[in-house]
Amino acid sequence: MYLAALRLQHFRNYQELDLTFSPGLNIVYGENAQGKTNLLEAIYFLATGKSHRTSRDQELIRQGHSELRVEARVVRQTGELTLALRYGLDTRKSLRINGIPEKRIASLVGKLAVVFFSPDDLQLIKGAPAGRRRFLDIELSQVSPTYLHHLQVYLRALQQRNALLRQAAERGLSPGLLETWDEQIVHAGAEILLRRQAAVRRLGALAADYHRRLSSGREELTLRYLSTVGDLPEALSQEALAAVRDRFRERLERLRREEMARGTTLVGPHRDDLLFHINGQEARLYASQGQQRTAVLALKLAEIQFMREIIGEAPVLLLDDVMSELDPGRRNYLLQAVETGVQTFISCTDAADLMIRRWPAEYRLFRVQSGQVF
Amino acid sequence: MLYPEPIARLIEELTKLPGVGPKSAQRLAFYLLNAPGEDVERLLGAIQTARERIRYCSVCFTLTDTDPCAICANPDRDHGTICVVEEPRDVIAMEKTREYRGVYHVLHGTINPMEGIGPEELRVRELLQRLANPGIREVILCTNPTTEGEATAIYLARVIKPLGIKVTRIARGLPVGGDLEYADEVTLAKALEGRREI
Repeated sequence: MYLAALRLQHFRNYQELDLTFSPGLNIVYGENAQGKTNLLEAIYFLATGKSHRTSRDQELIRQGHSELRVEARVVRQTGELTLALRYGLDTRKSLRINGIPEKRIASLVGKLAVVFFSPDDLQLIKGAPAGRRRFLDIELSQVSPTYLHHLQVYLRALQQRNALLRQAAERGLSPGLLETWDEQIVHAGAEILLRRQAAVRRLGALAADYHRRLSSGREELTLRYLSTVGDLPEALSQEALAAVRDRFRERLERLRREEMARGTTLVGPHRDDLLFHINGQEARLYASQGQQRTAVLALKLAEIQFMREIIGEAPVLLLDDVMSELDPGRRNYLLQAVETGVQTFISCTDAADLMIRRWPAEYRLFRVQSGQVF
Repeated sequence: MLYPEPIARLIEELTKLPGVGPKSAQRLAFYLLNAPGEDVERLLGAIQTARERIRYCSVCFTLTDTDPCAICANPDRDHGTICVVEEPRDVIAMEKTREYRGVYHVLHGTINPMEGIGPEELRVRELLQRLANPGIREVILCTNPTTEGEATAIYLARVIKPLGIKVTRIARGLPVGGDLEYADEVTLAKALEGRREI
């Protein structure tokens, strides 16, 4: 799939913008603080309904205005798609797909599948577990609306359950009330756990392959999903789901007293982690910065392949200022992705810095200067 | 420029209405100021009459101008089946089907710990009192398929089942006349989950 056209209105530092893109490589260059990242952010916003750098959507609206619009034309194997997202200070987000209003903003997710790679991702291995869970959630939500649904139910029920636990610490609890939330947590939680586990297994195999090639066969990368609920069955069957639900329920019952004392839910997908090992050693603790970069690059390449396998076509790759962080070898390796039919957006301060061995057949250059694109 | 105080106050009051933002409030305020006097009188009268005459039914807690409400007072309805809903507007939605012949019980909300709403804040005690009547055979839980609506249904099922009364949950699935092809994946998955033998 590829993003054919994008129109922005009052998005960040853009007043109005109307662009068409190459299905191959698109290079967005210009000085710092001119709007390069904002352009990639707009694409990400249209893909996921959220920004990658802020949870407060108001920040996305251009100063002095009350509403933003992002519209795009996406070309997929199954046909063309127009997406239009509006968001105002006064109004909630509203979405139209092919001109037809959609009730749920969640319907947007997956229509334009993206893989986003920015310097922040280089912290993925070293950073907090929340970042790794977020990585899995965004990846899975884009390929499975069902995953996103279970995730939304889970997070909502979790908030409610935690509110109840906090109240219980102060005023006690009416009988049967906590179990009311457990039921939904356990149901949605089991779906999330098994889907994450399966995704990590496939992503891990793909990433190991890339990592091996990037390290000239010297290093073996392994990914493992570590759940607070315990070891998980391999298959995603009704029996496996029932088994995970039972184990999850059991863990919650055993921890009830402690959870009430601490006022929060202590086990579940929201407490899990994704572990990286290189040659059997935990990468977070023992890998060098260079090894970690290689592992993250391998993971991003695996992400593209993983999505391609599930949705049947390649996602759009967004590389935000990440080229300057990679050495020429890794850079070239990454750019080969473009040659294999992945539409790619690269932002950088100087196009010449890219040092591409040979330019792909189809590319376009965009120079960004103070909220204008030339 | 600032609005003269009476207009500013009108706009402020209108902004408190659900679904009305500052811009809509402004538009409504100017409409009201320019509308013919008798139109505004009629609106004021309608609000006042509704406020005075409408109250909650002492049996099912829906909005009514008679007590008990027309549905609870109707001997032709099946008083052994109670449909539990969140809000009075859900009663209207169910009635529009003309298919349901039982009676209702309006909870006035859902369990929502984040907003400090537990069963005690809803009309749950009153529902349980109604269930003491041995003529009640079935309770249909028709709360919305949201996380809170689902939690409320789960809670009620746990409380009611031990009383030996049949408890059912309204099904969810495909819209009638819809194509499978156009149903979203989540709805389709839920419909599959709730499949039945024919």
